Amino acid sequence: MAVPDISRGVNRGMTGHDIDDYLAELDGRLRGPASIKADLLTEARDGLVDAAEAYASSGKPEAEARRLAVADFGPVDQIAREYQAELGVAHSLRTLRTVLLVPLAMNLFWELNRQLWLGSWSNMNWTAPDWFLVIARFNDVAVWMITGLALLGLIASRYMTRTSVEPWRVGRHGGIIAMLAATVHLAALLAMVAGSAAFGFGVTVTPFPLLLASLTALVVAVRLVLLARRSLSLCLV
Amino acid sequence: MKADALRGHLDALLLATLDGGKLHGYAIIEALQLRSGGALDLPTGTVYPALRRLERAGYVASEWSTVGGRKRRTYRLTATGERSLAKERTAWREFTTAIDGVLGGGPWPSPT
Repeated sequence: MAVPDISRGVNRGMTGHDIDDYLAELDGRLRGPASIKADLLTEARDGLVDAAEAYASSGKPEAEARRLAVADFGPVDQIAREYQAELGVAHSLRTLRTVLLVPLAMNLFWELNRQLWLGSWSNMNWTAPDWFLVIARFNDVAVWMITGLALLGLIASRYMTRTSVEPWRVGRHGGIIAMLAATVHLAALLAMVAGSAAFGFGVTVTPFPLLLASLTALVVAVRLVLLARRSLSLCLV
Repeated sequence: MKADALRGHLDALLLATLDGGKLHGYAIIEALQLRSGGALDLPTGTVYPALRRLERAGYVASEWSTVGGRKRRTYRLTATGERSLAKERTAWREFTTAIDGVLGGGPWPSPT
């Protein structure tokens, strides 16, 4: 979906100091996904310009028309709170969607690499100790737990929105679920790394492409935890 | 009518304005004011986040389109939104009928 670029002066016919100053102040108070923020601010500018034009066409001088449009829009404190809540929810939902897909994709990517470079586990001249098999199984189960949690989080967010739960609460719940899922994912991967380290990394770091796949999975897992933390920080009251 | 009184009904009011077809944000605000005879008094800036919330709920869908030579985000009701609006209308009729039965008939006759 193409979003008009507000910096290029779309709908600037009636824009003046009042509208620009108001939008600049609103912009300065909002944190969150840049594309959604730009989209919200573009729409806010459209609404302010429309209102100013309506006042001007009813005979108000342009400066007064702009001032009235800004006054009608609402106090920037209140409006910024409502916009921020939307940005927070948007970030949480985006994070949940990422947590839904990425760990599963990374797991698939690693398994494909393993089959390509190592072949079947049973064909390898290598016997894993029982405790390592427990960690490996936990890793396999964890991926589906994480996917399930993220899906649950998305369904719960939709339900909460339909039952008129305040947006910042929807975002916060989404952020908490995303954080839980991302932490389980990271913990499962770290357990695998620790388990591999216990017998000198052996099979999991040779060949090199498999090591690269493992490192990528680890970096992505850390990134998911950071994303979830950001979601939580954007959904404060 | 003040914003606090409207807060619980804003979603249904916004859905009702979109019942006739797709509208952009300011046209929705104008429709609200027009249909209420100017009685609905809420900060217009609160309408835009409310529309996003309705979109998240799946009740409306939006897209950027050119209206009157300008790029604008326009909203339309989804099938789920239409069902939700129908439910809200039924609930509102039941509510107003009940309240009107108690408040609407003028002073009650004094018990004798």
